[in-house]
Amino acid sequence: MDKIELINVSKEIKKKKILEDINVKFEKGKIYGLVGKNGSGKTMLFRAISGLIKLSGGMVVADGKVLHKDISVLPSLGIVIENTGLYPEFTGFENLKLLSKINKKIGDKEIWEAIKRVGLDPADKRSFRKYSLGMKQKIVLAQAFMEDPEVLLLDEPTNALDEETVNLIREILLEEKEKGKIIIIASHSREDIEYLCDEVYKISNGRINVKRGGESNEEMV
Amino acid sequence: MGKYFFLIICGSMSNILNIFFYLDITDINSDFGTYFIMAASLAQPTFTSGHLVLLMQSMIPMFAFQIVYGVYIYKHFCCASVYYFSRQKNRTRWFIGESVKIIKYTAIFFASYILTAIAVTIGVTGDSKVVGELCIYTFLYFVLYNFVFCMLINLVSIFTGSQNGIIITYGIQMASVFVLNVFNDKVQLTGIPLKLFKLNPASNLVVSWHSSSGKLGKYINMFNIDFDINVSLIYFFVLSLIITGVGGFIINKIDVTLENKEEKG
Repeated sequence: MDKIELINVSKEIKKKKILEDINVKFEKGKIYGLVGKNGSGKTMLFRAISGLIKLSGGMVVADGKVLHKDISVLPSLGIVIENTGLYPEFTGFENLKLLSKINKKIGDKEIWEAIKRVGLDPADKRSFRKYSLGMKQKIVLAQAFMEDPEVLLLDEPTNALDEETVNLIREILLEEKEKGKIIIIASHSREDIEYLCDEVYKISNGRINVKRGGESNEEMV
Repeated sequence: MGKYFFLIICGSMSNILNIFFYLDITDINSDFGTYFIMAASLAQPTFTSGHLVLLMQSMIPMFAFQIVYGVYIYKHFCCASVYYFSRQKNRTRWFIGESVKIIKYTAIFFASYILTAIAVTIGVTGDSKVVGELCIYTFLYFVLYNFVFCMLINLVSIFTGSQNGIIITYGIQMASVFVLNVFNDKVQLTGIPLKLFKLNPASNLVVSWHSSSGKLGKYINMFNIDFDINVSLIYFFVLSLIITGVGGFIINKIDVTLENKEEKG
C-alpha cells in the first residue's frame, strides 16, 4: 500500500465530537507519530483509519479505495489498540492461530516465528489470562506483525514493556519501515517518538493541530 | 469433533432427563406416536398454570442450549474484537457463516434429543412403528425455534450485554408460555384470540397443538382447532430469515469496538 489519506474525517458520538475535520496523508516507508493527551482522540483515529467505526463525515482513502465504500477494512493491516486483549482461555499461540484462520495467509510456522520475534515462547501453555501485562502486550504486538501487513497502527506499542523489549520492538519497527510499510504510532513516550518517527502529529480535542518532522519532534511530546 | 460429541451427549441427556422428571416411563400400553408426543414434543393438554409450568420445565434443555449458543456470535464482540474484526473483510459473509454454524449445532443437539426420544419410545412401548412425520416436524420446530432465539440473544447482547440479552430473550419466551393462561372457558380459541394464539412462538412450538390431515392428525390436534402444522414451519422459517437479515444489517452498521458491553477488548 502506497498511501492512506484522511479527508475531512469526523466522528461524533452522542452529539459529542470525538474527531473533527481531520486531513492528513500517510505514505509508505515512514513512521508517523500521534501525540496528545488522554482522550484527545488518538485511539478513535486509529479505529477510523482501520475501518472499525463508521465516520460521521469525511472519508479514509487507501490507494484510491474509499473505506466503507470500496473496502470494509484496510486490506493488509496489523493493529494494536491500547487495553484490548485476546481470548483469555486460549494460549498465545492458540489466539494467534484463531486470528490467522480468518484470512488464511499464514501457517503455524509464521505464527511461531512472530511469537519468538517479540521475545515470547510459542510453546508456553499458559492461557492469555495468566500472562503478565508485559507478556500480553508482546503477544498483541505479535498478532499485529504476524501476517506481515502493509500498514501498522500501534497504540502505545511499548506500554508495560521492559527496557530490553522496548528496544527490541523499536528495532522491529525500524525493520518494518525499511520494508516500505506505513507505520502509525500513538505514544506518550517521548523516546519512542524521538527515536522512531519521521513525522509527528499532535492531536487535541479531536483535531490535528500541528505537524512537525525530523528533529523538532521533541517539542511535541 | 469434541464439540459435536459434547452436543450429542447433551442432546441425549436432555431428553432422558426430561422423560425421567416429567413422564410416566411405565406407560407401556401407549403406541409409538402417543408416547413420543409425551416424550419429546412438549405436549400439555390444557392451558392451566400447572400444565404451563410443566411446559416451561420441559423447555429447560432449550434454555440451556440457548445460553451456550446465544453468545456464539456475540463472544467476538467481547474478546479480541479489534483484532478479529480488523481482519474481517466481509462482515455479512462472516455473519451468515456464523449463523449457518449455529443452525448446524442446533440441528445436531436436537437430532440427538429426538433420536433418544425415539429410542426410549421404542424401548418403553415395544412399538417400533416409528411415526416419521411426527419426529421430523418436532425436530424442525425445535431447530428453527431455538435458532431464532439463539440469534436473538446474540443480537440483543451486542447492544445490552449478554446478561441483559439472556434475560430479555428468556423473558419473551416465558411470557409467550404464560400468556397462554388467558385461554380458558371465557376466552375460547376462536376469532381474534385464535389469531393471536397462532402468532405466539410458544404455541407454534408444540406439535401436538397443531392440526393435520392424515395419519399424523391421529396423534396431534389436541384442541381441535384449525392450526396447520405446515404453517408453523413456514412461520419459524420466516422468523429465521428475518432475524438473519436483521442481524446481517446490524452487524454492518455498528461500530464494533464501541459496542462492547462486557469488558475491554
